[in-house]
Amino acid sequence: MSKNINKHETFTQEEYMVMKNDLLRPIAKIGKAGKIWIAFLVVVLLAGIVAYIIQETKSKYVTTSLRDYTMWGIYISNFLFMVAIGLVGVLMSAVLKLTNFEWYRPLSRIAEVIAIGAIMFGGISIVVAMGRPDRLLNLFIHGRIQSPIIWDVIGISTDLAACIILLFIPLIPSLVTCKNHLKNLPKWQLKMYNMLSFGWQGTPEQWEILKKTMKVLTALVIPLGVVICTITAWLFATTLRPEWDSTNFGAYFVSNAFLLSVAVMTLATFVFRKAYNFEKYLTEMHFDKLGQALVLMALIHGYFNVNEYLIPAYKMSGLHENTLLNLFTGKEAAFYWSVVIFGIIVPILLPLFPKMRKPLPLTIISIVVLIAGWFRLYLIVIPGLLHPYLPIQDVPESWTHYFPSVVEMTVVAATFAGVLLIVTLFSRYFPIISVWEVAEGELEGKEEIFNYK
Amino acid sequence: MEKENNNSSRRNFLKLGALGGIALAGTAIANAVIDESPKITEKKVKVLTADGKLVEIDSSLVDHHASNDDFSNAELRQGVEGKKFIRVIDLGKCANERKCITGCQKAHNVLAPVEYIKVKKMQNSPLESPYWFPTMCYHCDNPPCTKVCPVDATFKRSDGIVAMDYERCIGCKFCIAACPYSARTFNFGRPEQVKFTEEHKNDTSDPNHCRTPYAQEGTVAKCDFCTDRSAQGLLPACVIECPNGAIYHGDELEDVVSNGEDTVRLKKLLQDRAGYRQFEELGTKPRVYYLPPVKRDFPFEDATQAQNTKE
Amino acid sequence: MKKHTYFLISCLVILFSITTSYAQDKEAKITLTFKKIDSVNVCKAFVTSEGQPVIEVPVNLSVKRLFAKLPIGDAIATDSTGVATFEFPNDIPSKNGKLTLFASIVDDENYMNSETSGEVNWGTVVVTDNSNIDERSFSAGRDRAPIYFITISLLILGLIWGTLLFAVLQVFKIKKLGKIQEIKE
Repeated sequence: MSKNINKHETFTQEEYMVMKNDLLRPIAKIGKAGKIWIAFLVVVLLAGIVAYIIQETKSKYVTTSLRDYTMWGIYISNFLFMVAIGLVGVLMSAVLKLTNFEWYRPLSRIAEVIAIGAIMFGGISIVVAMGRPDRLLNLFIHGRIQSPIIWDVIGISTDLAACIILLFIPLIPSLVTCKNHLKNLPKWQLKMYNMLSFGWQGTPEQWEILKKTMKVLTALVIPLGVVICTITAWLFATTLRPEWDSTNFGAYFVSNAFLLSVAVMTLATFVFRKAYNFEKYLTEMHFDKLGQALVLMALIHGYFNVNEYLIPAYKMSGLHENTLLNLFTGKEAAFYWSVVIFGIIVPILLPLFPKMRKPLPLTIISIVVLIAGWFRLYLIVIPGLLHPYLPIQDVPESWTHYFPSVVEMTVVAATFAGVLLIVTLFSRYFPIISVWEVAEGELEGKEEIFNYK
Repeated sequence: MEKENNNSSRRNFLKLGALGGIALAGTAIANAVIDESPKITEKKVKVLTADGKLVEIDSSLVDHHASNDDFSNAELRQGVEGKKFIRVIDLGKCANERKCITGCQKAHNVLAPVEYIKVKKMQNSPLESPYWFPTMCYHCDNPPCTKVCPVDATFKRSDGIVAMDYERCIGCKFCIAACPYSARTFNFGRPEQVKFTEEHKNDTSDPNHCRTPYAQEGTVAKCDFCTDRSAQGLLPACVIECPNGAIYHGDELEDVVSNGEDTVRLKKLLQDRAGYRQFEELGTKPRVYYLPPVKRDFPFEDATQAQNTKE
Repeated sequence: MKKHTYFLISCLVILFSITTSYAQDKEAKITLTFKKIDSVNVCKAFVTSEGQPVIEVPVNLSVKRLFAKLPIGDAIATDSTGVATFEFPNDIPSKNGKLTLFASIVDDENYMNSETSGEVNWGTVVVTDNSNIDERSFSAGRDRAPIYFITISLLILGLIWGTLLFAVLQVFKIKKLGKIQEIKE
């Protein structure tokens, strides 16, 4: 099969072997730091589970800061954040793939795994926020198709299924590579690779089917990802509350999700590059491109922000006055403006300088953008709830404001730990950078990938 | 109704006094003059007799049957046939005496600060005068809450009532977010309330007792127009307890609302007093109308103390 | 002295109340008759006491409603023949057209409270309009979602899940091809 590979100057079988070695190394051996990291994530996740058990067995009036007016807290804003992050799979894998941006190749699987983790824990965030999680089945027994919550349940499960299938199908050839290349692994792991590789032989027919299916799925996840982001926005836009009653809300959420996706991709690229020594594959070029994408997405999101906040502020109708003034000059002003500056202005301006698009500076910018993005969603949910049409009067102190309780913060921290754990564990058992996809990119179309074993 | 009753009891009492002899006269007159009838529990309850008369009797004479308290679900969902419950609130009569609130809390065995009916101080602009504004679930004809409920746990009945099925509610709180009137409240399991609910599970002693229980922990509760009382022609607790007769409750199809004392034609009342609905522009079509605070019975006095200070 | 006056007044008041309460004990009987005169609904309340018509006693007319009785105008005093004549409005709604009317004497100086009821067919029949409850809409129950909405939702879902199913089937196709290849080798 591989008899005529040597005629290519750009990419030889030897180079391919080196690449395989490099990319499969994280699976072969887990270092001490890696173990500590996993242990840390497991501890945080367990702490979250304990916090949730405390929340469910004790009174929620005591364990959470949720009250009648702020009945949605950081669980819901964190759910919005997770769904936004979940769009990374669409942007960094599907969009770039379909538009033939070749630099997507080493990024696509990282993006898809993050997306799956985020969507899963987004769904979990909603269940955590429910008053009666024991009645979850009612959603299926008594579900009303007219309710945006049902749309969201259907959307999230569909998107999750699509993302998992889209992750799995390109993984099939990689699993065979793992099976053949990593002989020293425990037996069960090799067996798992064998089972999951579905009899992959790398025949031209198999490649053809694989590529065709990938193309169809890639095209499918783009609208699907946009739809679940939009439906999540509709959870708010379908209400009559003035601060959410916006025709712009779906687009606003999607643009926000794209911005956060680029940021989370940058962060993940940086971490994998450093932790697994992938400098050869996750190059400075990637950071350069991601920095440019960050500027573009921040510009788009800034544009929707102008529509979302400044245009109602220009009219300053009685309905919007309350909440807008609170954000612009009131109690939440410092909060709001730092979110605007760090979440929109910084990613528009700083990555314009090539120096800022180097790995470290861009990663720092991305972290800032992610934190600001999390609080932006917080600022959509909580001040919105605290400014209803009829004034809040004569209620206990704790009903008039919201600050998350320890239990809530622990659970939210655990959802982050959960996403990170999924990504980490995946990268320990499966090649986090798709070997064959990168190799195919190196071939520059001169040879079919199925000639490489 | 009340007047008539007190009168007749006074008459009976006078007879007794006369027969009892002159020696008792002093006390008898003193009693008669301050217009007090002998009381057993000091609580009056309105009941509908078999021949359709509404009479007020002492609550100690009424038996409560706990076994009647379970509405079958199908019945709950359908609503009372041929009825469309409606409410009119005369803002000119509200003096923020909070009797509706406490009466409602008692009738539903709910503790403060949970309020199905709230009284808010409203002032639309600096030059306009402030007024007290009782609000509750408006049982909208285009309810934004039932629209978003994922499991049909809140639903519109044929008699106009927007009801809650606590057995089915999953506690997603979307309906609370959707309600522009902040009418809904969530049972977060406040320890005092949980204890109180446990202790008063079968407590039907309140003369205005409403069979609809308080929401189970983790579900949403709200004003239910005292569903079972309305069905039997008994006025809800807030209407009975209001000392100023500010709340009129009735049936739109009968074109009549009553505050317990006055019974008036609904359309005429709305026409004569320029009745309106709150936030008409939202298109929710509330079933609660307001009469503007003109011709006030009381001058506006600001509340001097906050009521719900206890966490 | 003061005590004596008080006692005397008390006795006088007692005596007065005894007389008035006995005077009030006269029973009055009300008979209701309903007639339609020139398309005007007329309700006549004939008040008698011990067989004699009673004059100048105010009679209240009301109609039974769910929560309370709706008074029809003010009280009207009986005329010299002992009849109080009411013009009954023809716009009182009723489910089946039937109305229960009450004529009553309340708090009269001479007569005990008394009440008579009668049923009459003067109500305007109202039809319960439940169209907004029964129609398919976004706010209706799960069994009454708009048809177009169900259709579109199912269509979209079918398309997406169909594609996903297709993808899964392709995986098995790959497996089959792999087996064929194995046999070849």
